[in-house]
Amino acid sequence: MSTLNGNDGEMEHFDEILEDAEPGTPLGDAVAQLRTPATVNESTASNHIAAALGAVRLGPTHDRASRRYRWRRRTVFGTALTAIATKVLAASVALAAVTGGVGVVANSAAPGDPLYGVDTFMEKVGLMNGGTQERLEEAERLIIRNRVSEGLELAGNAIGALRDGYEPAAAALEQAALQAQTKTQTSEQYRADATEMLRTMTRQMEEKQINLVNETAEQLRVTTRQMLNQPESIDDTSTTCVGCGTPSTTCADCTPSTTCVGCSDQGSGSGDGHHGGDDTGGSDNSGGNTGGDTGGDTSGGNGGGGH
Amino acid sequence: MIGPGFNSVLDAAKTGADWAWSALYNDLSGQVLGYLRAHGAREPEDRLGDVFLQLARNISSFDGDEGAFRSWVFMIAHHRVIDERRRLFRRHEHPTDDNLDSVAEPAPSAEDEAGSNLSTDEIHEMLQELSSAQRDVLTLRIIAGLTVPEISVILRKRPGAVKALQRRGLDALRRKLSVPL
Repeated sequence: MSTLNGNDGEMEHFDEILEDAEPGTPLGDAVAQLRTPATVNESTASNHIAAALGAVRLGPTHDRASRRYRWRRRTVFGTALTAIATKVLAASVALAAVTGGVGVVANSAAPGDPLYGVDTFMEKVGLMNGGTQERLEEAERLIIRNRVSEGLELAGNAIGALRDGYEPAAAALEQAALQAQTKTQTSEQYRADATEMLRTMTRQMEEKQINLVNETAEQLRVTTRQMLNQPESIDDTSTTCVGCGTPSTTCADCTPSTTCVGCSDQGSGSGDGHHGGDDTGGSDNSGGNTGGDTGGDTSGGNGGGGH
Repeated sequence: MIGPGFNSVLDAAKTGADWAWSALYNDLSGQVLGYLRAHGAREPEDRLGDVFLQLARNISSFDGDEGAFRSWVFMIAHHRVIDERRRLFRRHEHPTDDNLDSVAEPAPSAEDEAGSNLSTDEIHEMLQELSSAQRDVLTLRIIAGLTVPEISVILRKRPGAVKALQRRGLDALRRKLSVPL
């Protein structure tokens, strides 16, 4: 009977009472039964989570007046900041003009893409921003394309290169990458969660929240392990990109350009015919996707998430 | 309990990360729903949604560890229970606590029995027969797993009073359990 979080002396009396409420006694059984969490059905759960997400993104509803006040106070400094930001922006636009289109396109390349070499080269020369943040974005793109292990490894290496106390995060990601090696196909829910966690880590790194980065990485490792423990064939409904043969649930990889990013070496396939049964496949998936209740972009997934 | 990763989950939840809210919901919803049912809430699932909505609206201003967070969650749930109690009282539908059991949600899905021959619903009905103060303390103690100091903050009672209510509530519950239905 020690699942209650004890608080030294405060607890004594309660436990005393519960001593004769051992399992088997009527009171003991009743207490155990009350402690068993109720089950929430899945559609209720996903509705609640979607509503909560909507509310968070809208921000606090009360306290409007004080927020407005804060904003007004900030604008005095804000104008100065905007002026600086404009200059920085102008400078980077000029730089982009010099480096030319190739660099811009290459900058969004992921490992394995033809332009990726150009991307890293330009970073080495110091022209494009590069750095951990961009590595993490690349890792996201890899995961979206179902190259989970590579993505996690890239993220782990990028974070590991920083040292500064990020070692646990790097280790967690590396471990997750190793575990995910055998997996060639993952659920859309997992990919959404994993990419969002990487984004969370990017933000936490910007804020120098080292512990939080490490914890998020650990969470990502746990999520990955749970995903791996789930039975195969989660993506039964997925369509296969005819261009590259990559399984793709949403085909988000390939729109809107005529070239599938997953297989850009295939060149400019003809726009519409690029996917196997684009129409049927597309609608199938959006239907199977927990009925997307006002979910918006990321909240389409259900609460299941394999927790 | 989420455990060591809680700070990261909380941080991500504040920014509206899907995975973090799934984690919080999966961790807490079962207990909160059990708590609401134990209080005979009329639409426990809807009230559960209300609790999470309010969490979401105010999470940006929350600061603390997992224990404090759980305490906060159940404080919100407790307020929803009180709201309902007051609403019913105002409408004169069920002027006393003791009548609440007649409208207690049957909750057909909660038949999972932990070895006892009583159903969860029957135990909830017994809880309705306690005084509301005793029920508040016992549900926060047993279902939510909060400590006496935490409960004394939520209920705005001295720790000594909480302990006394807990003892009397448990005694009453034991007596009811010893009498066959």
